[in-house]
Amino acid sequence: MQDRINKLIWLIVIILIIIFGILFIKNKNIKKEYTSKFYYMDTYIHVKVYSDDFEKANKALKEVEKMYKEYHELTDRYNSYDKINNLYYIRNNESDDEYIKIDKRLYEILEYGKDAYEKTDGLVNISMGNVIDVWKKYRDNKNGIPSKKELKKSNTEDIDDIILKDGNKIKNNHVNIDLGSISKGYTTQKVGEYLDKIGITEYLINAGGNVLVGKHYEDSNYKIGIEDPNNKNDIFTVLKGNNISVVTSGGYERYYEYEDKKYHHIISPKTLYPTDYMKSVTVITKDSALADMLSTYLFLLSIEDGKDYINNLEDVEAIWYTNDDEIVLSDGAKKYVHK
Amino acid sequence: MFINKKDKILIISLLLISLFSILILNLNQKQGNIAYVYHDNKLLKKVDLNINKTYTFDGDKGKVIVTVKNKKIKVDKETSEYHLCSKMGYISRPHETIICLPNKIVIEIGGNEVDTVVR
Repeated sequence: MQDRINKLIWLIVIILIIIFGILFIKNKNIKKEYTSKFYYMDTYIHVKVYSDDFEKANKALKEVEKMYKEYHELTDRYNSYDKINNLYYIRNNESDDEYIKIDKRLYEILEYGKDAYEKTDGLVNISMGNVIDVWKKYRDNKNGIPSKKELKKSNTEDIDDIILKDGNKIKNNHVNIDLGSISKGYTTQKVGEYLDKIGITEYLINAGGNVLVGKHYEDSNYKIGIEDPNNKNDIFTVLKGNNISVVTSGGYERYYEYEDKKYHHIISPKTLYPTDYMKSVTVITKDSALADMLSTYLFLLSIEDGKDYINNLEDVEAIWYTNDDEIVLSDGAKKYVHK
Repeated sequence: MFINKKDKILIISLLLISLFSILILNLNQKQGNIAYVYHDNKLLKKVDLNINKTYTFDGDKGKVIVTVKNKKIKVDKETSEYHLCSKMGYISRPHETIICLPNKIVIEIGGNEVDTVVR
């Protein structure tokens, strides 16, 4: 009798250990979240990847940070980096060559920027560095606004001064190029493509408000909140989606006040002043470079014109937050709204 | 004998079950992204746990200072007799709560309503 009971005890203990072991191993294969945070392109960048492979995930995060760092250095207008022919170099180099060599990646963003000019009727204009610098000066000092005369005088360059050649050269015109309207989205898109390529399909990237998500880690949808322009840290709507990019342009992000009026950082190439059509606009589409570019474009257009434009585009939706605190959706945006 | 064989089986099995349950639960590392701060059941703020920051709220007895660090939130300082709230330490998992009764402040980690916020 004792003997049987002993055997029973051992049997139960062994079964429990087996069950416990199986469940433990099964849980090890559940996708875990690996995150990384860093600061480039003047903003905080969060990356989350979901993987059951600890090494693969951490290697990917390191590579992603490296990509943001390198694109940051290439598109940096204010600093030079050893052996990197970036925007600063393009503007300030002392070479006598008619054409100077630039990194292939920078070449491709510049091509994208030139293309963006065509697509947006000149409203997304990467050659506006001089005008942006004037506004930055006033924004830093907060003691006035530039006159139309001063702005016009500074606006000496245009998109055609950016002349690209042979996949890696640019004409040495010292153009003051500003890639602020497309660099975050463009880099984020490249990062997403890299993650897909190495087999990490579940990820979430938030580069200072430029969001790109892959497949959801639990076969559901990512929930993406959009900041309330009137109330930082509050959300006015939650979007849901997979394999999508969400980018918002808003005047409330960066502005200064002078004589009771707010002057934000998104300058229209046509008027040379910040626009006043809305508080924010959010673009939803698969490609993050496109989302970034279009969010700038739509912010510089009236809501009516923006709606017409988006409703004529396939697979792109937008949500406007008007100056009267109303929310306007493009025709197909409703499917992305969670609540 | 006070403890017989059958009791031993029971004790060992219960110990093993609780052991692996704890392990399973701890392997699900989902952390919350948003914390809701309420005063007297009224929502004061939705706090983004991805941003390290300190907040000050007005409770019934005085100020309640809340800190977010590394996706966790805790009450740093509170105006109250026993300071039970600040002794609770950090919370971070969905639906975990800190309740400060004297100040009527409640902090609850959201159940993954939002994965990230676009600013």
